[in-house]
Amino acid sequence: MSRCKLISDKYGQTGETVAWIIATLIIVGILILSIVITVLMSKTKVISLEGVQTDLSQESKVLAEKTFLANELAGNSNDERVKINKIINENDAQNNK
Amino acid sequence: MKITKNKRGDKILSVYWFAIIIIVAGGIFGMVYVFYSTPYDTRQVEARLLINNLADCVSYDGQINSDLFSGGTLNPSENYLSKCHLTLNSGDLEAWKNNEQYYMEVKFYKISDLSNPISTLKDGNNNWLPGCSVQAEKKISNLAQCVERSFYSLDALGNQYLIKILGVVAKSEKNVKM
Repeated sequence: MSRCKLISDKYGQTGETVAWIIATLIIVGILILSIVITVLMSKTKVISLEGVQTDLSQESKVLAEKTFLANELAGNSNDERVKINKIINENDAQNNK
Repeated sequence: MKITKNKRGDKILSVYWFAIIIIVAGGIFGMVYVFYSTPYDTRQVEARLLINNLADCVSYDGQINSDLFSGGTLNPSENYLSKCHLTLNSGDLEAWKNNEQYYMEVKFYKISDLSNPISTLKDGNNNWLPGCSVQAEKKISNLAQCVERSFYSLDALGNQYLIKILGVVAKSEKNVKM
């Protein structure tokens, strides 16, 4: 009688198996999430200077210097310089969205 | 005695652990492969460097290069940009040797009329140009990357010009995961 009860009572095994299945699903889910995050991170491997928050980064200094020198040579007033810089900034922003 | 002899549960658990290790290892391999197989896209920086070099060729010390003028008017020769000493050697791939991966355009505008250029210089493979208008709304990484910058300059007589330089760099095979 006690031997039959030992073999028929499998609640412990069932419970443990279910726990392992859930653990496996959680592990696989975390792995899939990690792979998705890695794919998203790989899309950021674009080197761009458009969003750089600086007035005169080394790269943009060349054109800004030319504009500055031309303004000095022309003897432009502040208003004219502002107008010219506005035209340049609007053109750059429009074409480099 | 019979209880201690029956070890089928341990064997099944070992197989399961191996399976978990293989799944985790496969996941780590997948993550590393996805991240490192994607190249860095440096085309925008390349285009800006190209624009800077063209700007130096066209204008120096705030004045437009005198070679661009003839008879007192802006009248550059068509192949002026080829004299800018730019080495655009993009022969890394066999397919690039006969298909130039760059295009550049310099337009001169009078400050009084910014809608009609008075002169345009072009060089390179103009087949990449339509890709720029396609990307006006949204960037598409497989197409050539276009950067346009402008600056202000004068001629020897003090006439004011706005110069717009467009630099286009293709080289998708090296900068985008195809």
